[in-house]
Amino acid sequence: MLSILHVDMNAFYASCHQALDPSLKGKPVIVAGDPKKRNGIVLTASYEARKFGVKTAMPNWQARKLCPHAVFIKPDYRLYVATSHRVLEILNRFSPLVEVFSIDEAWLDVTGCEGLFGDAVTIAEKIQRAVMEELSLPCSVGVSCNKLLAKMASDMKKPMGITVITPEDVPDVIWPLPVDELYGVGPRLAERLKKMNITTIGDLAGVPVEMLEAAFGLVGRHIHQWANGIDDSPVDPHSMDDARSMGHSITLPRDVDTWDEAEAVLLSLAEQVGRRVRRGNYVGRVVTVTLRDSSFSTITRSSSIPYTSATEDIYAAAKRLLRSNWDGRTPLRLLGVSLSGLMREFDQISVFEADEKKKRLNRVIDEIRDRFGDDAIFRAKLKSRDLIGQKGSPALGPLARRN
Amino acid sequence: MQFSIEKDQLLSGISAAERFIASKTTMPILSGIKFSAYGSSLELSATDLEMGIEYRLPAQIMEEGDAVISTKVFTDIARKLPQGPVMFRRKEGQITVEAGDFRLNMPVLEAGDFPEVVPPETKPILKFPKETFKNMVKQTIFARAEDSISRPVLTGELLEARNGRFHVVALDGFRIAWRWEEAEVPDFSVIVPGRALVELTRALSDAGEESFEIHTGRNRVVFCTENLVMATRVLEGKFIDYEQVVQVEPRITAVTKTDALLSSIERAFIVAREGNKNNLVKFRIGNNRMEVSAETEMGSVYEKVQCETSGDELVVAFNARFFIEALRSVEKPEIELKFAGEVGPCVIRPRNSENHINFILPVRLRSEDY
Repeated sequence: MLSILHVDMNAFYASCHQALDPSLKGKPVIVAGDPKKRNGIVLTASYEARKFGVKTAMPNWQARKLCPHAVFIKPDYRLYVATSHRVLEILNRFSPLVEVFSIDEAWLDVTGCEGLFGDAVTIAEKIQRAVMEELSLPCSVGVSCNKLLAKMASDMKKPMGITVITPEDVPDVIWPLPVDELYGVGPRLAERLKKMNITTIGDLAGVPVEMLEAAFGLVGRHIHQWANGIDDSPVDPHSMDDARSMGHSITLPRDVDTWDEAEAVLLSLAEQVGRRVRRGNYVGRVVTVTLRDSSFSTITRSSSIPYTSATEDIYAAAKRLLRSNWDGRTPLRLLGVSLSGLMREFDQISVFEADEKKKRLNRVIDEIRDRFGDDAIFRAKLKSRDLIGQKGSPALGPLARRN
Repeated sequence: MQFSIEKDQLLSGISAAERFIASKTTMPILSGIKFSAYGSSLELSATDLEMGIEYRLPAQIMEEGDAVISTKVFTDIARKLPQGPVMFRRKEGQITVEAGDFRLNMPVLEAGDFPEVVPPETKPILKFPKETFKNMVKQTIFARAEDSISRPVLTGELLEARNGRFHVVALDGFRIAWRWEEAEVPDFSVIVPGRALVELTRALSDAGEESFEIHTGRNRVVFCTENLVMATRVLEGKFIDYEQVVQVEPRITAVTKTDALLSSIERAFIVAREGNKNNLVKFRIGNNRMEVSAETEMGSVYEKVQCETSGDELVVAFNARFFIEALRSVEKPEIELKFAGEVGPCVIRPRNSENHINFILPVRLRSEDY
């Protein structure tokens, strides 16, 4: 019954730095955008810093005022991605059914694993211990009968908590919580619910579902179920590969206003997209580029190309879109590349040797990265570009996010 | 300029010409049809710079001259004109079109600015029966690439003569469609944009004669009949050596009824096209039958098709659409299929005929698909 686990890494970015540099342990650590270049904001604060009231998304100056002795660190997305992979490796030891939700969260379905590792709570303890002993990283684990309740449970005790929620606990534990703590209820929806006199999850659970459906459609039905602790969705290890589009975008650490730099960033993004597409055995035919300039005006432009998963093709199309939609001067603050119109690739054989060569090259690069890490190999164009990480390897994280 | 022409004649000319007008252009002159009245005929010209047409019609010329008439408004009015003769009269910058009691006045565009549709010096390279050519195009054009950034040349069709044979070939890298006919002509080779060939075969249908000529000159290829000249830019590049590529050592050969296999794959395709599996259909060939199957989230189909086989049993998968298009182009009741292996091509020929070849590469099956 209780067989779904939700693992939530605690203050993940800050913890990664503390794990890497033991001298930071026990100290307030704040991972934030470069304060010199722009009005940086706090991405993650360690628990030591949180005690002083430092919160995510707070401007740097405010954080510094609250916690003057904090260590400020620039984000290192390569580190987070690499660490995230290592956490995933540990989780995979305990169950074949692991669904990655984000860089620092994942579900496990441990049904049937009890004989090997003990009951769900025991497995939660083993995971928490393994992650701490092997990676020096704290995490909280929620244990329940479905993904929703497991996720809410992992949120209950941080850091290093293990919380069990049974369906019977829902009225006591979940219902008193404010409605915006429910999965799927964002600030705007919460605002509208408040106008209907719904402020707690319990209020939401008690409202007739028809009323919510009338007001919010399908979403209304879903949140009503969730408020009642009901969630039938399976832990799906492939949830990430079954997308209609795969994309990456990056908020640049500083504005970009030259062709050279913009194209280097595009190549890095195309590479990340291509790699993900290839990993899922997809090919796609629509390349979309997102450009946001320093005045926050954003455009997206698409172009169709023959089905491909090759970085070179994605990059070529992205570059053409950039060339025809940017003047090479207006400072850019965000760039994104995505590939859609995805189709499962079943290795259609081609008469052209060159195609095969391109495919083989991409496959080899992917294999090297999978085995030796993202910075083991990179394209010459990306060499020593500070925009995309120290060694030109792809960046990932909340600023460079998957969509 | 002044001439008179029968409405039906005029309409046939306009319908042929307007297909060549540039749909999006920054040059207003290209949105017009050029009317040239000289001698005893009226010539209509249209071009989008990539390709163009000159269409000659019998007309009664009273005063020689030319004018470019914008197709906007004019073509729609031409269709609605009463039956009978239509009189065109140009006076400086205006054209007057009269039919019965109807009269239209329009400004003309300056004919001097109209680009050259057909290069002045071309050399004839081939005279060929029109219907045969149209059929050769129809039987191959589906295999060209719809769009290809890396190899634009694949969006065209290869027309070439070698060793007394005239070949028409289209290929997109995954398949090849090839037709040839005996023709005593000197060797030549041009790659014609697919879109131009589609328009050409359409325009040829209207042309009266049995045969037409192909000319080349200045990176253009020109197709002409008595009353029609069509010119198009040629695509630069090279096709792979298709003759070499289609030489395969078969693992197994199957002879079967074209219709039976086609309908079976068409049925399988309905299931195969659901989902994102490349329209994958699987063939198990051997023991005098072909088993056709497909499986997606929507369900699975399985069918046995009788055939004569010789060779080792083989399981191989293809994009069903490639097979359907190839089989639909076959006009003979029986076909011979040579399968080279799991990752090798299938070469399809009508039984007892050599001049119609389809070559299709398979989709590599993953272990879970066997």
